Formats: sequence, C-alpha cells, structure tokens
Amino acid sequence: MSLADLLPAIRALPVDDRRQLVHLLIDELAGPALPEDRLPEYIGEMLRHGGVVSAGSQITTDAAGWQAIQEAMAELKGAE
Amino acid sequence: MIPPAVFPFVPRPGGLGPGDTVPLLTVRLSTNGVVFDATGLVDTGATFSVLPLDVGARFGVDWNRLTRPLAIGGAFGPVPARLLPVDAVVGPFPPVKLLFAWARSNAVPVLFGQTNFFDEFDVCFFRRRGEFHIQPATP
Repeated sequence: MSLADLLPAIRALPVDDRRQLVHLLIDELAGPALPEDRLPEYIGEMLRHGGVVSAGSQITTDAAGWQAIQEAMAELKGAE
Repeated sequence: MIPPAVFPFVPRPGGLGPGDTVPLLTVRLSTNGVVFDATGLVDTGATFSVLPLDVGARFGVDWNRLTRPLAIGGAFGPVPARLLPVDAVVGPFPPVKLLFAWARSNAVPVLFGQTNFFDEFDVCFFRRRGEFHIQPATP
C-alpha cells in the first residue's frame, strides 16, 4: 500500500484525527525508532487502533553518545 | 534486602508554589579527591545523569581532557558534554559509581537519570504522600 492509496482515507478523517496523525508522525520522526516487534503487545494493539506513542526522552543523546555511554558503563563494571 | 530510605518531595526551587513539588535528592559526590553534596532531580525522563558545567568543575577535572564526548539532546539540547564517572553516596547506602554527562553549559540542571542511577537504585514515587523511596537495586 502506498501513500497515494491512503490519501483519500486520510483526507476523509475528521480534523481531530488528522491532527492526531500529524502528532503521531512527528513523534515517530523525532523520537527513537520503535520496531513494532519490540513493543509490548498492548502498545502495538493501541497503535493499530490509531493510538499515539511518544517515546521521546526529556534528556537524551544520539547514537554515538549512547555508544560512548555503553562503553563507559562497561569500563565501570569492569573496574568493580 | 536493605530497607528503603525515605526522602520528601520538596517545592521546586523557583517553582509555582506549594503544589509544585519534585523528588529532589542530595547525593555526596566525590572524585579526584574532591567531595561535595549535590542536589538534583530524580528524573525517570532523563536517559542518563547530568551535571552542569560549574558543578562538575568543582572536581578540578579538566573537561577538555575527558575522552568520551557526547551531545546532550532533548529538552536542554543540543549541549556538548563529556562522560565523567563519580563516586556517589546516596543516603545510608554503600558508595556506587555513577556516570554523569558533564555538560559544557550551566543551562542544564543536576539530574539523576536512567543510566546509571536507576541501574543502581530502585526508586518508588509516592507523590500523594509527598515522599519517594530509594534502595539499592535488587537483581
């Protein structure tokens, strides 16, 4: 299914639903990717019914920063 | 199992009044032979713990000589930071090593975040009772 297939259905949605869809897309693009197979089933179910998941952290870093944290943690644990 | 230490929710400094209370925790930090108490927010929304520039500088460590850089993103980002491991004593519990992102800015607060504060301690929040409980993490 392509975006062109979906557009008529999206345009037919009530304004509030379209607004919610925009927020969902922004959250997905701005937040870390959440592969559906790693989500708890109840969240996957909620997504399939138009729910919104915002998994962004208030304080976070990028992939390189996260890698640095993991390496530093491994070093800390090795020193214990 | 070690029983939890109980800490109060306190009014947020510069906050909105008596109802604006937050779980602030004072932790004794030490590294490089320097020891001081730092109070910060116990913050489940922070992926990692954070120290602002001036607070980290009290350790007398050269920010530029720390070898693990990262960029703090999110509510306070983007801010460059370096990772700084610190010995920390929380309440009556034995010292642990906490890893902080020491920010190149004072615009960030002291935060005790998921890595690795919440790896080391189990925390329960009881906001209505105005208290939170901390104990060393159980396996």
